[in-house]
Amino acid sequence: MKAQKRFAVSAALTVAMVVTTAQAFWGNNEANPLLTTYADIATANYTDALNDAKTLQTSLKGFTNNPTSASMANAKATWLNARESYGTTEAFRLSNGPIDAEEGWHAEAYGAPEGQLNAWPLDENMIDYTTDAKGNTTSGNIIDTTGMFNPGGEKPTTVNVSTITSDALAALNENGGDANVATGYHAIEFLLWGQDQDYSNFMKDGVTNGALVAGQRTVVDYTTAKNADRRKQYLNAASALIVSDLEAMVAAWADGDDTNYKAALLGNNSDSSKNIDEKTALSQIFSGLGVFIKSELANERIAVAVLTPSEEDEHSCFSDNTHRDITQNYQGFKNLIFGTYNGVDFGAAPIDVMKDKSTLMALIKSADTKVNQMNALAQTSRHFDHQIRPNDSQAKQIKKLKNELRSIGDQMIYVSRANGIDLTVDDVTDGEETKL
Amino acid sequence: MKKIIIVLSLFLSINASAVNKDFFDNVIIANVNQSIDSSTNLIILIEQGDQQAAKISFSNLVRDWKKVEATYLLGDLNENYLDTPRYIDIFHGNNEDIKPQLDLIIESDDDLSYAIYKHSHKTINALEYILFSKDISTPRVKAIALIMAKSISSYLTEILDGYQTHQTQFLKNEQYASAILLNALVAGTYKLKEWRIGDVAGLSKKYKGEPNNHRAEYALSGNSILAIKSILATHQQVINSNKYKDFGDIAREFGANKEIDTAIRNLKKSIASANKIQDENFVGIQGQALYNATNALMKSYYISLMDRLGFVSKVLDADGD
Repeated sequence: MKAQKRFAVSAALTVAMVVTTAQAFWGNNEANPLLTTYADIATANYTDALNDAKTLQTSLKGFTNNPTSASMANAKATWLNARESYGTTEAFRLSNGPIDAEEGWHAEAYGAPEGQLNAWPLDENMIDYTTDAKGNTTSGNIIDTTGMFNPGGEKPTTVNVSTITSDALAALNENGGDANVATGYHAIEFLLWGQDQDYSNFMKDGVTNGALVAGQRTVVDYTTAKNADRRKQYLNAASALIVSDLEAMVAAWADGDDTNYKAALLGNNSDSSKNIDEKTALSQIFSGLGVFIKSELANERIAVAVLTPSEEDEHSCFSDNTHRDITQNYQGFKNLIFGTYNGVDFGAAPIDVMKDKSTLMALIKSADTKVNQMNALAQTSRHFDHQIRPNDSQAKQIKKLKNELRSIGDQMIYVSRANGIDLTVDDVTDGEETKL
Repeated sequence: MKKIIIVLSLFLSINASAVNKDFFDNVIIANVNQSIDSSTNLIILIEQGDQQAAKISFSNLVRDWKKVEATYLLGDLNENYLDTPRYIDIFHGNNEDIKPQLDLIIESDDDLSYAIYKHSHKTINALEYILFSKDISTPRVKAIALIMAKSISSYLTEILDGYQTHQTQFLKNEQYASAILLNALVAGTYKLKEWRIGDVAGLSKKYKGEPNNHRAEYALSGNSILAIKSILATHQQVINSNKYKDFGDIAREFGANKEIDTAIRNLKKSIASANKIQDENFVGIQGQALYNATNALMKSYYISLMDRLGFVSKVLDADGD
């Protein structure tokens, strides 16, 4: 992803940390209850995301074995469903955890697969044909190249795509630049829905005209069209990578394993050098939540799209599922603040000890209203890419939502302070966020 | 990119008066009104197709807009106005190259009502490109220039309306008003010395030892030093005016005589250095002197004055990217 928080404290995770401080505070070998709640939600959420990804994989196999309009619709439905549970897991990002740690044993052990799972925005021209700004069909992509493929960009390396395998796609992902995305949910999204944006001018909407119309790739691309079999290969290879990456996440957060990341976070790893100092863990989690809601969700995923405005910069621009991405990302943040998941109370929550939570709760209530309105309109009136149009009344509401989410990010300073952790605004803001 | 955080605590124990209505009318409102007048004049000249006069008028708009930008407080008074300056000016705030995009719009026959849909295409930066590299006697180019100028004028009017709506809020809480005012000075001075001078002169962190006058804010139209002088003149309005009670007077009321005197001295040095810049050339000894002077000015606001006034907390984005 574009926004990557680089923590000065991240190196702390790589060195031996002794949990005597935590034990002295909480007594005996009891893990900090906040960390326990956080870790248990991670276990549940990544398990759901994996199961949904497996369902997606199965449906894609069914679709590619027997490509019909019905099996294609089913594949799309399972993709949309898989995004729901993955979307809430994104709140675990930017906290030096296994999903995107930049260094440390856990980065190596679990592969930090975020960039392979959910890289965005992507240059779809690298994957398959599109209609360019002049109305011409593009070529020279992974699908129509049957030998060595050069992804272009900065210092690219060529990859043999005679057969489109998981290894080939992994080798191509972000090869030559961040936009050279070959793997993950959005690559599959493009191969199922196809192009939605009119590159000549998104206001013209000439490729797939209509406020409630997403990409319109037809099943013919998987039956009689040239390279149909290669598209099938691509879907199956990409979905296999998603499943294997999420299996790694489930392993990292699994119960009953005293060698994994969850055990280290809770101070119970059998290799004590891997155990994470409690204050360090809480600091990284609170900071990560702030950066995620403020810089990643509010700035990269909403502000860039609505302030430009730009359809290309909406998160799920082929399926027009951006409203759900925003909703679930926001829900994931709330899950961890309130210590709940799917309506179930998982235990002690960061917000519990805040004496004055009125400002935060008012912001959340107001943001809830705007998120609900965005969803309702996306289902009945116009998708996100039409809501951000300059003259649409909803554009102002989405800008307000962006401002509220950024304020909620700043509120993490007070949430963390209530829990004994001092953070500054700098700690809850990605210094490399896009300036608009 | 580096983010400097400045924390500003809001004068918990201070009860004396701060900037008042005279200041608000003479600086904030007067500057916005002047910029609206400039934009209106520019619209008329574009409509007349007088490109040479429009270019001169554009310089006036640059001068007056920079004054508004230098003390932009409206986003602090109402977050709905946080993004308004971005619709007028994208200097250092937008990674896209709008020039080829504007060329495509000019070359296409798409209806302009939706061809120019991006906010960045209607900014003062886009208008500079059109007025100083295209021929507005061409009907489509002229129409594009008019859309841009009218958009800028419309947002300036929106800013005026916003200030008038929130005038009471600004004056009611004078302590908060003073806090956001000083914060604006600090933020503006950082951008002045780092982006508008340092990046050009090869003195910023990003471009250390790599001077390039083409990085100047208005390199195409040659209005970069005018913009800098205008920003510094606005600071003069804020801290050293004898026409109304200004922020310098407030600082003295709080015993920060030495600190405000230092700031005024550094401001005068900055203005003198800016006056010595010839032909928009920031490279060399004159650019270095201007950078040093504005750096000293920022420190006198950020370190000395804030500290003396008990300001402890508030966020200042100081982007060195």
